[in-house]
Amino acid sequence: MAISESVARAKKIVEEYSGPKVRIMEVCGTHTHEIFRLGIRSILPDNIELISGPGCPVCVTPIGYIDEALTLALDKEAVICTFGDLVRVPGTDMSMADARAQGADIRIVYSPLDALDIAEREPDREIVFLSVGFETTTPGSCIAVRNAGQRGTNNFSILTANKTMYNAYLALKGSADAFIYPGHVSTMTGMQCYRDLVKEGISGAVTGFTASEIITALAVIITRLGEGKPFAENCYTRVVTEEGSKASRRLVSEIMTPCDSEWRGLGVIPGSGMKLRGEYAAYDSRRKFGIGEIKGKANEACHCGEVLRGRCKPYDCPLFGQSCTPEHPVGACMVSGEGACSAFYKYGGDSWKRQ
Amino acid sequence: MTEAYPSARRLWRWHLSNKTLILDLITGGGNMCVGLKVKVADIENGMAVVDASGVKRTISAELIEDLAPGDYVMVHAGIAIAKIDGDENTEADEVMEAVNGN
Repeated sequence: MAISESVARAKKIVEEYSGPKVRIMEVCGTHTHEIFRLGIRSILPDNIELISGPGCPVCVTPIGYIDEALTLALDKEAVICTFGDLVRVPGTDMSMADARAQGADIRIVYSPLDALDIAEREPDREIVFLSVGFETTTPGSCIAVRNAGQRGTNNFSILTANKTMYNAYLALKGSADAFIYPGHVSTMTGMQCYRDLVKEGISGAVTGFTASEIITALAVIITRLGEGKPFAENCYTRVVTEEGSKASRRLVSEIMTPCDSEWRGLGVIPGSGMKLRGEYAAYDSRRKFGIGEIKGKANEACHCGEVLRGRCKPYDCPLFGQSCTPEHPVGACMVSGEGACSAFYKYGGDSWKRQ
Repeated sequence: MTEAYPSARRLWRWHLSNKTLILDLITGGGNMCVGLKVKVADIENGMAVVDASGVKRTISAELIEDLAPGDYVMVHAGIAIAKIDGDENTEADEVMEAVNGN
């Protein structure tokens, strides 16, 4: 398919960039993968560096969370409903896939609403939904909890590890010159949060996932960086609006409230998580089952934390491609199809630059 | 530019590029972060029946106001998260025009 004149111009701006070195961090796992899959790294000049940041919810979920889910599955004999990519993430001793082999009831669902349906079909079982994810997945969990409340479905609860990106950008300030903001998270937040980040001196552009969208966003970013002032641009206008989804923000604030949250590799970021409000305590798995605080223990050689902060590339980790592969992952960045390590492994990374 | 009736070839190409995503939509397997563009076939009580290359599924439509059959939406974990308005070429024109206008 021929590319449009605008995209051709954007591509030229990117390919012919000769200014100072810029570091651009993408924070959405789908961006990481599409950038590799579409071969975008191969057209970038040496002075544009792309860094894969912490935008994959599976990758930033701490090990202790997997241990909590395992406790609920094995000790409390709850049915665990989860998105597929969490199943193989190693906890301290085992993954949920390993627990399933020991008889735990672990089921993969496409949506939190599917987990609620299971609860209604199987009223004699306790159903726990693993509620991870950012602004795009959080409303689904809120709808499920609200519906459970309205219908009196008492055998349903969620284990929250929901996160919001805003404070993460503040924590990552200085890790990159500009961010490629996540397209679908932005459908919910709108552009205002990025305008607020401009006041903090943080720059970036929202974009979609096609080659044209990623290339135009890169062209916009390097052009604006050249102008020297912080900026927030929307390059995904066919999907992301200025005001975002008010309905979603209203819904989420009725059901959940911000809390501190632990990110793998980044530690606890204040106000970066979401938990259920007190009036929904009956749907909060932690309170319902009274599980105490569980601290997970990561494999000490695993560099996922540094990878997520953009401090090292996946191939700098001693485990990468050795004991840690997509078939036998050690760290979360290799487990998830969205993870940076998985993308580097699958597409060969930027090996041409290392030679 | 909007095509009321996309050609069979375009549909097939779209199907190929979204094959695994559609499989995810049916089986519920794999990746949580998949955003999938689908067409709204019908709306009832805040739920929408969507059509992804012939695969029908019911999703929540309550986050989007004024959704009508025929609209295209982005779906994420069983929830419609945004209406899709226009195509990527028009979008690129707009974006690049802004870069021009320095």
